[in-house]
Amino acid sequence: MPEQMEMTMAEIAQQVRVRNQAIRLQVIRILVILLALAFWQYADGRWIPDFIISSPTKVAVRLFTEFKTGSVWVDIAVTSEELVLGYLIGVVSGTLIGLILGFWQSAAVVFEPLITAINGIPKVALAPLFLLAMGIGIWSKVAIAAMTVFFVMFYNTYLGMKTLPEPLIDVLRLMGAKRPTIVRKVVFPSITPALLAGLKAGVPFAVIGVVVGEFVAADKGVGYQIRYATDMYDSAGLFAGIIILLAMILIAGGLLSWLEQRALRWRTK
Amino acid sequence: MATGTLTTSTAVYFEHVSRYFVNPAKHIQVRALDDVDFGVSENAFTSIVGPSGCGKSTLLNLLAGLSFPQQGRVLFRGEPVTEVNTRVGYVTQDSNLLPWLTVAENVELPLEIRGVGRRERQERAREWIHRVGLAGFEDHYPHQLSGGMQKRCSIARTLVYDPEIILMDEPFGPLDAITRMVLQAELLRLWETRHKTILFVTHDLTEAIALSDQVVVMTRRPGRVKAIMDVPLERPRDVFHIQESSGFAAIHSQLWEVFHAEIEDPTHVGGE
Ligand SMILES: Nc1ncnc2c1ncn2[C@@H]1O[C@H](COP(=O)(O)OP(=O)(O)OP(=O)(O)O)[C@@H](O)[C@H]1O
Ligand SMILES: [Mg+2]
Repeated sequence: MPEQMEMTMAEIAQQVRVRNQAIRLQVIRILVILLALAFWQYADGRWIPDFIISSPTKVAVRLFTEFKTGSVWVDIAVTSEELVLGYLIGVVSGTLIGLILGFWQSAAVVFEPLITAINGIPKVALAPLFLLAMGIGIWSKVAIAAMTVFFVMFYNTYLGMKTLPEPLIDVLRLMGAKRPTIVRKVVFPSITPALLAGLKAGVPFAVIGVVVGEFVAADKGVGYQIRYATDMYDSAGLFAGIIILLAMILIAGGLLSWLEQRALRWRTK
Repeated sequence: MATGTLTTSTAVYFEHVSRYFVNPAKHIQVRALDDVDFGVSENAFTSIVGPSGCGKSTLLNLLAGLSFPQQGRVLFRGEPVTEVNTRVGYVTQDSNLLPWLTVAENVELPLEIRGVGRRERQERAREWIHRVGLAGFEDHYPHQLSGGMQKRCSIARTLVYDPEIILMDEPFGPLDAITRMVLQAELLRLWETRHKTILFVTHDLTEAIALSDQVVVMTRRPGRVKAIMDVPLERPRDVFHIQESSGFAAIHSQLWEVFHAEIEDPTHVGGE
């Protein structure tokens, strides 16, 4: 390491200040959440009927019993399976088609407008069609999720391919690099940020796809449980389901952020 | 003067080359180069000077086979350049480092592409990183370097693979006076010991004289060759004291006359 120097007192003080600032922000965030929960708890039954909003304590108790009896695990397993499969299929197909059309301009001229037109259809409206075609099991949900994720991934990849850094490609060609080397050394690294953005944006889309599918027709899954609770005017069960979904999204988001940090180490911190 | 002669020792010949850029949306045509005709001898050090926007980078791009003239031909060792010219090493005006590779990885890249083994690759890269004064920064990414350091890294990346002909587009532009002279000396040493042919674009007349056998002065856009001046200063040259060497002052003022007229002449009318 060049010119590595001892930190001066002023720099240490500065770091401490930055840390304190971060802690303060966290405390404020937690306070806001607690306040909202307190408000929710208070409003239940007083301002808003219980069957609509339930209350944090009731939801907590419900979650506790659901996990204790273990009934909820089946639903989590089914929904996770649909999510992971749908997400992976969507990511792989979207990335592949994006790369192919990015490399192959003459194909892009034909297919890109078609894909854009299909993307204009609200995906949710197609959910019943998938259920008709593929039945009540997991594959109809997988298909809906895969389709929504496909478009997100396709556009991110394709736009990444349209903005490749030509001068860097020229540099490699001058050095005598052949196509595969250019793809490995320039194309993939330069579309990585776009791919990661697509991976992150795809998660909520996959969740929407799966949950909508489960709303429409299913006999298992977190979305199915939410739908069922709603039919029963069981607001605690409804919120318990929503919180489980939220947790799944947060876990997926956390994994992807970790991946992103590793993949983009070369960028400005 | 090489104009009009094509001998066996001609490394590069720009044969009545014209290059325009057309902007179809606005029906504007920029004439970058207009009937440029000159040659560069094998093992010669040639500088190209001219006002900003006169087509110097365009000229190097043509020789590198990154773009092609509408009229005329660019001959490389007698053969017209019709595709990317992998026999030239090109230090482009922008550093064009790969931002996702460290300094060491960037400098090793051309060797890796040319199939040099890992050990030799690391050895040669280390040597060149040292020469351009970047020792200690091997593991830094380009965004962690200053503009001048990026430029030096880019120079190392080109010189490390020992290309037959070297094109350099203002390679020392963003460097301080001392670093600049150190690298000039290094470049001259390389050129003398390895018998390279070098085309060197600069704005700095002193630099052009210090390094070159011949200086090509270009006109304002559309770029034409205004004059080709030989620099008969003896070799090897000492770039640190070049201004004190006999003959320097005369060459400099002569070159300045020609160059100056191109910058200041208000009656000059552009080609568009
Ligand atoms: N790809 C391009 N498309 C359109 N016009 C271009 C392109 N490249 C260069 N030009 C035009 O050609 C002219 C010459 O450009 P060039 O970059 O060769 O100048 P230069 O002599 O290298 O200038 P500088 O000293 O500022 O680097 C300029 O007017 C520029 O606008
Ligand atoms: Mg230029």
